[in-house]
Amino acid sequence: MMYTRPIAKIFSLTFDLSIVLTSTVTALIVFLLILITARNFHPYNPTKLQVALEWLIEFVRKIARNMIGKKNFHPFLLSLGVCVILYIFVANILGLPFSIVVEGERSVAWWKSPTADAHVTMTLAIMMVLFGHYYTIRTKGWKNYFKGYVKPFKILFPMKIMEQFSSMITLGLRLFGCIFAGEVLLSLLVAAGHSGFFHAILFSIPTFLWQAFCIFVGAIQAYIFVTLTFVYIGKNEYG
Amino acid sequence: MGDIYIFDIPISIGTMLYQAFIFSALVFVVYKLCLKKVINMLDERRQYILQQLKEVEQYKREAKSKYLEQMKELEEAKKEVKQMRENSNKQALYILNEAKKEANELRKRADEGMEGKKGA
Repeated sequence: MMYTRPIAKIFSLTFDLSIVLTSTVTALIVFLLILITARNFHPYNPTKLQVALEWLIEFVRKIARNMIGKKNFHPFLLSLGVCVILYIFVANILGLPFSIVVEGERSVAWWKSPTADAHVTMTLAIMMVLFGHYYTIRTKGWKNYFKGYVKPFKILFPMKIMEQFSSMITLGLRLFGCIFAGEVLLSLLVAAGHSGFFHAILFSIPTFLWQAFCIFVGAIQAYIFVTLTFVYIGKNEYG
Repeated sequence: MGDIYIFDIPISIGTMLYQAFIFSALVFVVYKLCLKKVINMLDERRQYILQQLKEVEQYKREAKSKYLEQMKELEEAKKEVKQMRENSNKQALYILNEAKKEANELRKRADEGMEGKKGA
């Protein structure tokens, strides 16, 4: 069941080529989706895609307003939220319809959800937490930023440092765990269906149901990721 | 497999760097090319609609106050008409009474004249 990864070494850095492939595809899908919608953007006569994008922007705006508590943000924050939610959702469901495994002396998995790998989710989590710090420094200044670590008591300083790391790790590993588990169960169901005609019919229904459930989980996880990102930004702002 | 090991877990730095690069590229390109424009447009539209609502509210208030004014004027005009009618009725009665009085006077005088002639 465990496949090896296609690894390439460039400048003594290892690259997982399947993740490079799938994350590039994800980014392209998100980019084209937004580009096509924004090209035909008309403020008073919206198309169907535009209504969907507007709904998404308002959705993210509402989350941000609840968590950060301001009426108006810099549009970059909204744009970041929309990108994150779309990127993670597309990445989550990318591995659902099929997977590509090249059989050889060691089977290599080329196509799976990029978020089913901890490298991707941890990178995103680290970036989001770092962006939260950057945003706090920009809005509050260095002095107040460092003061935030010893508020309300100085003794809480080690806790505050630990909190930053734990929030980063939970943010990344939660997403990874959900999507990885989903894909493992999906591949188990598909493998079980391979062993005969009767099995194929028997296991097609749970496979179908599990795929539908994985789409749901993917959407929920994308929502959770964005919400928590804004929670951490808002917490830095006031904590 | 990995560049560094944390608790025996292999971590490939190259994959993470590539991921960071592609994601930040996506965020910046999308922001610069599309979403900045879209979000500004949405804000503009919100302002426009809010302004329109405000204007409608103002027009409504103006219309209401004008309606009330008109009603007041109408009421006053009705009152005036009533007053005028009463006055004219009074005047008519007065004139009628005066005329009757005058007629009676004339009749009296005439009767007196007739009696004077008979007596003579």
